[in-house]
Amino acid sequence: MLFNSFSFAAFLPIVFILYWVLGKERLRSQNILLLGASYFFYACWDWRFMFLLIFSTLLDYFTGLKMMESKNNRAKKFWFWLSISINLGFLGVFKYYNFFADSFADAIANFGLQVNPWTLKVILPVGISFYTFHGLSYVIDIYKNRISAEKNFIDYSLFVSFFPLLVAGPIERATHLLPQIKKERSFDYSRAIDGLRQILWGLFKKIVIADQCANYANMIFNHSGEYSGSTLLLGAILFAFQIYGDFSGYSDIALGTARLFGIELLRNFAYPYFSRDIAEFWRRWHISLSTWFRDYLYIPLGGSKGGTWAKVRNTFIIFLVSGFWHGANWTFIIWGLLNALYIMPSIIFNTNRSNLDTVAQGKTFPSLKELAAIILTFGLTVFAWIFFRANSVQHAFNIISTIGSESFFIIPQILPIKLFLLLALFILIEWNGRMEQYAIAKFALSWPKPVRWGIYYGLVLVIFFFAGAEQQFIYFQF
Amino acid sequence: MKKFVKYIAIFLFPIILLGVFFEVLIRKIPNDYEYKKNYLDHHAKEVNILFLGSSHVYYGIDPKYIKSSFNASYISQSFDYDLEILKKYKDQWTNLKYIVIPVDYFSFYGRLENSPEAWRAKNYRIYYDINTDHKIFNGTEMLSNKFDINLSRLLNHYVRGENDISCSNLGWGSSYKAINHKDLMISGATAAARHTAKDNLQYSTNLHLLDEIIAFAEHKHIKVVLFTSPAYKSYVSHLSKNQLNTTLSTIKKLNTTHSTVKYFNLLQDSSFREQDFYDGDHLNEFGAKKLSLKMNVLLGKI
Repeated sequence: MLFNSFSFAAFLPIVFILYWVLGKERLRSQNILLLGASYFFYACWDWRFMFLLIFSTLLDYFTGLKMMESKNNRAKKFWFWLSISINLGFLGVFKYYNFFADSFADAIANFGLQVNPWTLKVILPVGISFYTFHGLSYVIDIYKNRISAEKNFIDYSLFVSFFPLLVAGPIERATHLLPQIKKERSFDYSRAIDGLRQILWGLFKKIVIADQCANYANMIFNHSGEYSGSTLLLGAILFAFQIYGDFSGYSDIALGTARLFGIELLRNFAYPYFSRDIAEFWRRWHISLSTWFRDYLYIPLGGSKGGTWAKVRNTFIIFLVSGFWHGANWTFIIWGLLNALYIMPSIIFNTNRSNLDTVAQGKTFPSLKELAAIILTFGLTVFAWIFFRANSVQHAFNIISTIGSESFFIIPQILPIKLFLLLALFILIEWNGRMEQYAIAKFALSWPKPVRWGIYYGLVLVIFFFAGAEQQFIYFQF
Repeated sequence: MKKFVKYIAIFLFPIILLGVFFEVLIRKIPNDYEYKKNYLDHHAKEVNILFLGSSHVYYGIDPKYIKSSFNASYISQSFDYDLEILKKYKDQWTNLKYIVIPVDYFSFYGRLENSPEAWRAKNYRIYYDINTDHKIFNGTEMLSNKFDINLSRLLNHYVRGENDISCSNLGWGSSYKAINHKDLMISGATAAARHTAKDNLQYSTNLHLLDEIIAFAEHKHIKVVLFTSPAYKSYVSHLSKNQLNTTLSTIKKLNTTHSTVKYFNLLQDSSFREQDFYDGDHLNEFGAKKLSLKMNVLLGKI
């Protein structure tokens, strides 16, 4: 069931009404209802993978309890490593086995030996990277004595499987979500309206921006050999907007949906394309994953302690793992390493925290220096996205070499003027709302209701106008 | 909570009202599915030869050259819909002698619901009263079609006075004109790639459906004529040998095990030349005339 489907448009109101009417002031009933709805939501993709999700939940729930009950460190360590290895084992088998098998065969082939690797014909269970990371953060936090194990199985299961975040995040933390699940929740009108507004904006970003950009980006990337350098660059830029609209749109719908149930999820995007350097970009892009890697990998590796070279090493490891997390393909690994290279100067010269505020705070326009920094950062990001989107490393290099050729200076073969206008409007709205959690959070709130509603109707109309075949969200494959 | 529900209801009311209004208006636009259903409602008893199947027949067989025949095929119509059409008029096929169905390169490997044309499934439910899939939203025009397409259909019919009927009075799709032909080399290769299956998950289901069609026909003492449609060389040369051979051997088996089944392979029939094709795998009006006359002769020889 996709967020941008009519099935979800029917599912959400039913769960919402049951939740607030039947589950009124009965926390346990609300949580059971949400858990049932979440499992139904997940089963709509493939009910067989429900068993994997439930097994993963049971594993972390019991190992969490066992760690808490352990009288000595050795026993605690045993349960901890049991959970970690099984979690990563599943991730490895479903997501990475074929990659390693094929890469091994390719490497052997370089020495003149031919082997036919035994590859698994399995489908990647949707959301496995996300719910595995949920579970991992939970057991690590217990092991490090940051939290106590959750005794209520329903509450813990809901923390792992809450349907707005189940398949593509945000990657939640037990310290943030579990207390909300355990706390009485009462209906708040303005919060619910805010949630709906965020869902509306998320749908706009997904259906109007991402899916329209996808039409052109797919055409250009899938037939890259037929296009000029300027067209290929345009394709890469459109892909940059596609992936942003797609993933941040998804996150907005997830956050808005959770808010309808009185639950606040972690923010995942904060206008990353207005960043002035790559360090700022990574503080604003897929925030829940970046902070996960920071807290559970970068800091345990030593973080910023231990001098510049330790920082450089740890940063490379983080970006390498981040690339690998996205998928079992060398293109993602190179994308990760490129970002590591981009961020290196600020790590070495200790300037990675120089842009902590929002750009042009309190001003209407950025300064020329800020604008140049934003364009440079966006350009670097677009270059890295070429690897992310390409089918193979060779494909990416072919695209880059065509961009670098003379054909860069001819007018692009594809000029989607209507889409350019839409993108310009989108950038303006995002710029205007950059201080808020999402771009239209405060937009027109002080205006008369008929005008405000007119704007919402306009958004609904545009969404319906552009809505076509339901497009999968890019991050579902991760 | 009451305030929230009240405001949401007020906000959604005009959208729902407009949606229902558009739905009613769109359903009133005459279209091919409705036309074919109405024709069969009134004339099924008079039909001697019934053509079923997908676009290859829809654009390739003009029943005006074949006495007492009707073309009930349509774009991407798969065996499951062919069977449902037969079942729907099961008591009315009193004069039906032949059921003609194309078994093409892709016929065993896909179904309408799994194809890019899946949005057409709603037409069978709304206009034919045939319900092979159970997706709730396939019961409405507004929710199963793109909004801009619906909007242009409304404008075309209610403002410009056009309708959606593109078939002849005997069900032939007449819109693939020679004058508008596509590049045969490119379109042939593209269609072959599109028709080459990634897996054979649908194979056994489709074979079972074709078996059911044959059993239905045998029960009614109706002959089943299977044929593989003519295609341009650019299409044929890009076909997967494995998929094509599997399809042909399956038909051969059906042909030998059922005395009521006849098969004609016209895939590379040399009488169809470049000027007969609209694109790599569809005939134009000249090709359709040629195929229809040929089919008339072949049926006469059975």
